[in-house]
Parts: sequence; C-alpha cells; structure tokens
Amino acid sequence: MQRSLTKYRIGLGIIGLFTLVILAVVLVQASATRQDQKTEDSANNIATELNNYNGYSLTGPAPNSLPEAGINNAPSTISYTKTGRHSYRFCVTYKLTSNDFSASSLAQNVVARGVGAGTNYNANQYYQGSYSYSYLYINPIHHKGVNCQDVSGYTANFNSSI
Amino acid sequence: MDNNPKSDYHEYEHQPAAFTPSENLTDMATAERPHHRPPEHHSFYPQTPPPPPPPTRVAPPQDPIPNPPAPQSMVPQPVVKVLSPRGVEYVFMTIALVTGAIGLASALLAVVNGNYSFSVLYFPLALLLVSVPVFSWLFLRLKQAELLDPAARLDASKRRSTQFIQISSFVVCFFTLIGFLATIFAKLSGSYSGSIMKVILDVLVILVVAGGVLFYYWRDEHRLS
Repeated sequence: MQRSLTKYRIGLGIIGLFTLVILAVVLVQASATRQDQKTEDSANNIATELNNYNGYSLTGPAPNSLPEAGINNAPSTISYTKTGRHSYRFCVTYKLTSNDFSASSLAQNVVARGVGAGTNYNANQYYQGSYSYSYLYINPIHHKGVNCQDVSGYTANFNSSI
Repeated sequence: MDNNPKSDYHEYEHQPAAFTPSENLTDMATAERPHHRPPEHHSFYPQTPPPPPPPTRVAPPQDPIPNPPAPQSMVPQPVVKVLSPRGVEYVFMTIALVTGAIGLASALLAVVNGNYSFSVLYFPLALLLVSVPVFSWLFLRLKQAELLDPAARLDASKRRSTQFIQISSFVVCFFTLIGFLATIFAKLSGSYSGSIMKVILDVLVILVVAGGVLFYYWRDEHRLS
C-alpha cells in the first residue's frame, strides 16, 4: 500500500517544492517592495505639492529646488532638477519593476476568448522614454532603476524668454 | 284562519315519516359498511351455501409478474439529503484542489510571462501555501482509505465531487482550446498584436493543470467501471 502511495507523494512533493521556491522569491523581494512602496508614496505626496505650487498647467515659474516649494523631507530616491523657467525633471529610483500583470486576468482572458468574449490581453509595460506632461504624474507602472518625467508648462512654449 | 296554535302541531304530526330507524340501520349495515358484515355463521344471517364458482377457462401458464411497486406516498422519502462522512472529506478536498489549481496555474503563468515581482506572486503564493498542504493531507488520507476498503471508491458523495471536478476541468480545457484557435486565427488576420509564443505557453500551462486534473479523475472513474 505504501508503494502505491509513493507516486502521489512524489507528485505532491514537486508541487510543494515549487511553492517553496515561490515563497523564497517573494520573501527576497519583500523588503525591496516595501522600500519601493515608501518611495512611491513620497513621490505622490511631492507631486501633489508641486502641482499645487505651480498649478496643474505650470502657469507659474518652477521652483529652484524642492525646499523652495516647501518640501523638506524628500527621500534620497527622489530627485528634482529645474531645467527651465517653466520646466523641470522629476526622477524616482525604484528597486523593482512593477506592471499591472495579472495572472488570473490572463487565464480568464484565454478561456474567455473560447466563448468569444476575450480581448487582446497584454500587461502594460513601462514606457522606456521619459514622460512629458504639464503636470507631475507618478506612474505606478515603472521599471527597475531611475524613472524620470519631464514637466513643462504650456506658457513655456510661448514665452520662453520670460 | 285557524288561530289555534295546536293546529300547526297537528299538521306536523301528520307529515310522512322521513326516517325509519329500523330500515336505515339495516341499510347502513348492509350497504354503507359492507366490509363490516358479520361472518356467515352469525345467527342473524341465514346460513346459505356458497354459490358455485363460475366456470372459468384455464389460462395458459404465464411468467410470474412482479408485485407492483408501492404507491409513491407510501415510500419513505428523505427530506434532508446529507453527504456521507467520507463525502464531506471529498468536498473539502475538492475545494482545496480547485483553489490549489488556480494558485498553481497563476504562479506558472506569471513565470512563463517573465513576471516574478512581489505584487504578481504574493496572492498565488497565499493560495498555494494553504491549499497544497490541505489537499495533500486529504488526498493521501482518502487514497489510503480507498486502498484499505475498495468499496469506499463507490461512495456516491465521492463520485459527485469527482464528477464535478471532471466537468469543471473539461469546460476549462474545452474553451481554452477554442480560445487558442481563435487567437491563432486572429494572429493570422493581424487583429491580434501579442506574442503568439506567449499564448502557446499560457495555453500549455492551463492545459497541463486543468487537463492533468481531468485526466487523473477520468482514469480513476473509468477504472471503477
């Protein structure tokens, strides 16, 4: 009887081993994910303050530095550089890549295509170039490393000499 | 006009009798309650010889006819349908199996699509961490019980659970294959922009998990019969 159960024990053991590997991967990434989450929260708070400082169309001049806009507690993973009177570059450094991939959505979509209800599911990947907006937007989809956004006001295009 | 109050009474007295106790008692004894007729030897009824039996033809021998079933109202009907004690364990195992299969397929889909990030893997991991030990314990326990007592494999509650698993996994495999072909055709027409290699890997993962479950229980069911 024990022999006939051995093959089932081996199969279940393989699945258990796979589970342990996934557990190790998740635990290794836990601290980096927590750090990235703190960075993203700080970046969102700074973005709100910067957008309120100059208006969402950057009508006013960009601040020379973050402390000038009243932001004194920016973490080292966030950098601000003024590139013009009405433009600046905002960079955030992440430890891990983040996208909106969802395995359950993917599986549902594969099966749903069988009943004619699926879509061309593709997880949104981070756009490798830098974004350019008239206001600062922190994208939750990002890649590992430095992610920058260039912000320039509409008035900068017309009154660049001011 | 007769003002004597007795006249009415007199008139009533001359009404024909509507009820004769002796006649009606006889009617009740003979007509209304035929089965309660006293036996023939009772002195009240005359002793008459039984009539000769009517001439009958001898019927050819026939096959014995089984007794007709009792009326439906006489058969005890269960008002509460319960699972057998083993059947409850099979339902637990079914829940753990379905949950674990979803977790395993999700984790494998993430891996084949190159997504190892925390946010993608943490929920499939939670599913696997709970369902794999529970399923393993219940599966080995029930398998051992089946080996000790082969009659347990015919338990109706068990077959209900395993048939549910077979039907569910068949539906998943069936529509996955249709979806795969639909994606191939969409790719040929240029209306699908994704990687066809990833679609093949995704379909393979789903077919390995759902098809593996279907194959195991299909074989198990047909080994019974």
